[in-house]
Amino acid sequence: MMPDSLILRTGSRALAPLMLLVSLYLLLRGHDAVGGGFIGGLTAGAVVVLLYFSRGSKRIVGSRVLRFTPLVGTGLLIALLYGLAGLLLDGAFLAGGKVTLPGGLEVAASLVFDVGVYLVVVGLVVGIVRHMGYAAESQEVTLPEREDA
Amino acid sequence: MTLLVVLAAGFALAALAPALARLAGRDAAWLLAAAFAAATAALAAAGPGVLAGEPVSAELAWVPAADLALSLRMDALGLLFALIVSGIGTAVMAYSARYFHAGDPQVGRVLGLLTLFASAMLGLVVADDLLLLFVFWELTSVSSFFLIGGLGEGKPGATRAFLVTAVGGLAMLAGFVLLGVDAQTFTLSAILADAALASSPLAPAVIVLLLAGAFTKSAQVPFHFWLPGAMVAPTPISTYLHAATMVKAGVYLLFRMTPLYGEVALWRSSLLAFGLATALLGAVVALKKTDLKALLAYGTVSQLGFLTALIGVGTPLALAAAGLHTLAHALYKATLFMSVGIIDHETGTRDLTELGGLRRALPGVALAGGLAALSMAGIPPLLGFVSKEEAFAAFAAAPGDPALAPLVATLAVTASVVTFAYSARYYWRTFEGPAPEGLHVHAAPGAFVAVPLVTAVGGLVVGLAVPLLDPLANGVALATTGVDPGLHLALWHGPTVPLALSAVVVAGGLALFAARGRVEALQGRVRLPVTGDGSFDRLYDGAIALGKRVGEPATSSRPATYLLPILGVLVALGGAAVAWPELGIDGSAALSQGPDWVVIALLAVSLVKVAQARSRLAAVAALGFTGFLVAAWFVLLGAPDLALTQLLVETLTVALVVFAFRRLPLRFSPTPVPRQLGAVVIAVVVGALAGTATFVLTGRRGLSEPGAWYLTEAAGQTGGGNIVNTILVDFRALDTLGEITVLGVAVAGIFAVLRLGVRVEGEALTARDVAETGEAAASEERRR
Repeated sequence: MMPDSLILRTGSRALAPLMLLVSLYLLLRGHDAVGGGFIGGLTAGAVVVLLYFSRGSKRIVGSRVLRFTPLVGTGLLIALLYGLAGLLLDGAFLAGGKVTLPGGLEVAASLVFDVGVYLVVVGLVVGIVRHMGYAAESQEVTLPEREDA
Repeated sequence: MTLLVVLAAGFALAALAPALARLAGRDAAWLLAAAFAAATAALAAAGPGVLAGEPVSAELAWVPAADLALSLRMDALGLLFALIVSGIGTAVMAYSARYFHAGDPQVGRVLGLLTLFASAMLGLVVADDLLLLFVFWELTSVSSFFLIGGLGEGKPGATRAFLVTAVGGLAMLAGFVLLGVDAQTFTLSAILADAALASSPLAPAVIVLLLAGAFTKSAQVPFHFWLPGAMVAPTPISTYLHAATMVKAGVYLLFRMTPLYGEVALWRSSLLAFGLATALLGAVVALKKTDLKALLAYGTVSQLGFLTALIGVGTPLALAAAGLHTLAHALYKATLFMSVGIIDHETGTRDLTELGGLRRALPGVALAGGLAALSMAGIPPLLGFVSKEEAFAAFAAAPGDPALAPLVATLAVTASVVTFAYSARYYWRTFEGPAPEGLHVHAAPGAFVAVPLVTAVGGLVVGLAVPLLDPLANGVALATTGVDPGLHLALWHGPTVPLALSAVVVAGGLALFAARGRVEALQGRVRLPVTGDGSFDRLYDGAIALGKRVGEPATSSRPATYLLPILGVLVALGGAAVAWPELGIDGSAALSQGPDWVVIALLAVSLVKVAQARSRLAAVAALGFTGFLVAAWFVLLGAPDLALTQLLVETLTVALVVFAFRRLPLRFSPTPVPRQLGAVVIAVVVGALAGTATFVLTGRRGLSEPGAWYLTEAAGQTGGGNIVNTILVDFRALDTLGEITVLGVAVAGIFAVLRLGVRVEGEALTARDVAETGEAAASEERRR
């Protein structure tokens, strides 16, 4: 059903890892320059969409990583734990601060929170692609395993 | 301290009860009964101090910012109700241990909810804060809903009961808020001490709202219908909630507010009028019911009306009598319900026409039921006699218009005559006379019968030793009117007016009972034109129908149908704003640069393309192009974060819209020209308005104060140079947490709608159906 495009398939092979790297870069530098969890997550979401269009939904549906429950769940959990850590260590829910890494590098603690945001946004895109994509071509895919199984 | 401990233990036990029931089955109820007994003892131990004029109080900060505290206070009135709640609770729990069949899966649920209810009810009567009182009040309504509804079998009754009491509860909350604002405090004891509140201009509104709460909760006419409907619940629940305690919450509120409004004419006349009407109507209906639980339910309605009217009299004597009668009613009505539960359990029916002669098979039940019926009818030496005597004395001495006292006394005596008659009818038709053919009676276990016997004998013993209750009755009057009536309770006061009235009640009741054949025939012919149930159902259906009609435009599958009202409202509001004479445009328009016009020109072209597109794909592509242009504009304006987000969102949106379109026809179906023209007009008007608003309202103010603060402080405070990001993850991290939670919920929603199938009016609509519908539409299109 999906028209097969050699250019798209070959191009995505090179593009997808690169885009993923860019998304991580955007996530990491977000606190100081353009970027952050939302933008990084959306970029990674674009990778998922690219994979879908180039390799078809079987690739997405069959993947163990690309499921919305673990992604959204982990993301929310990380954000929540970050908030609770602030409550414990600094006396206020979601209190930020700076952390000095062993190498002497100073990092904003809120990066942890941004990682949570990143995962939730990726999870959102994955959820939409998996399920709306499935709805759009239900005859193409033999019944995939359920998300909650 | 006692109060806090008892309350906390109650709520903890409610949470534990289901687990206990899994371990011990129905015998878990014994354990809960023991806990209730301990609570009763703890509360009673505080009794002497309370009655000596030193209320027990406790306070725990809750929401200090809202001036909301868990403040509790138990005076003589609170003590009376607290003892009823915990004491009758003990009996009901002990009774439940044998009411349920061994292994009944409902036990854990019912016991947990009963304990939750008891704790809420206890909180209600000792709360010293209006809002806290409301919270407990609603908690009793909610637990009552689940207890009546069971696992779905009592849904209509539960819904009626809940909606009636919840609407009343909301009215009461409005009254509380008005009262609290007027008094500038929500502390109950402080409000009651402020006599000026009774003459405030807000007082009439507060009174009407509070009465709405009290009358719905205590089943006063015309809201009485929910109480008989609640009788679908198992008997322990009817006994506890719908006879002894919850329905008294309204009466409690009336007691509680008497110090403030006891002298206000509106308050007194409403209580007397509604109370006496309820007392008469309930008693008359009880006389014709053949279902024993319905008979008792209407009896309860009648007695609640009697109490309401008695509080309306407002004298210290009346309040003392009302306190005493509340206790008497709790004892005898609990006994009666528990007896009926046993009869139902052992014979399989509770219909008077199928019962009779049970005294021989169930002597213990007959004794308990008989004693309770005597108390209900007002026969010495039971407690019901003493309380009714004092009530008659209070009615006969009602202050105010000289015609008032004889009138209310006559009506109260009439209600009591009918009460006597239905009490006699209950006992006679159940326990005496010949047993109907085919009535099989199982023997009732001793432990089962013992409970109603204890409460029945309690009514007898307390009646015989009634002077012991002097301090409690006088204490209630002192707490509610500020005056100690110095009442000396006794079975024999010599030849007095109340005694004569009691004699009238007995004689009239016997006559009515003797003529029961004719009375029943007469009542069978009377049909009321309006019934509470019927009116409620019409109102309920009407509300649902109205909601459907209001929601109809939004359930259409055509966006145009529901966009039109929204855009219409927008145009109307925008037009009004433009026409507003005081709309001043201050500040000069933000600067525009050359490149802006390039973007605008490209935008215009792409929008025309969107409007002209005949294929869906072209429309999406053109719309996506406008999105990219806006992103470019953001770059020009110096907002790279925004631009990047817009770019990514636009990319994903186009991809996702393609998903949705893949199952739709490639081309739009043709639209008639008039509709196209209409759409053009709407689009132009809305667009012009939005453009004007943007031009007029944006870019004319300088940097706001918070904006400036972020620019100078953000980097130092968070160590991050990107202000947008520091706002997202540091300053407003809680908002972001909320937003990503919403994202998670949204994706779960997509999953539910597309994969699990959503039930639409009983039909499961699955993604496959959606896809097939699209397919069918597409092939239709192709054939054309």
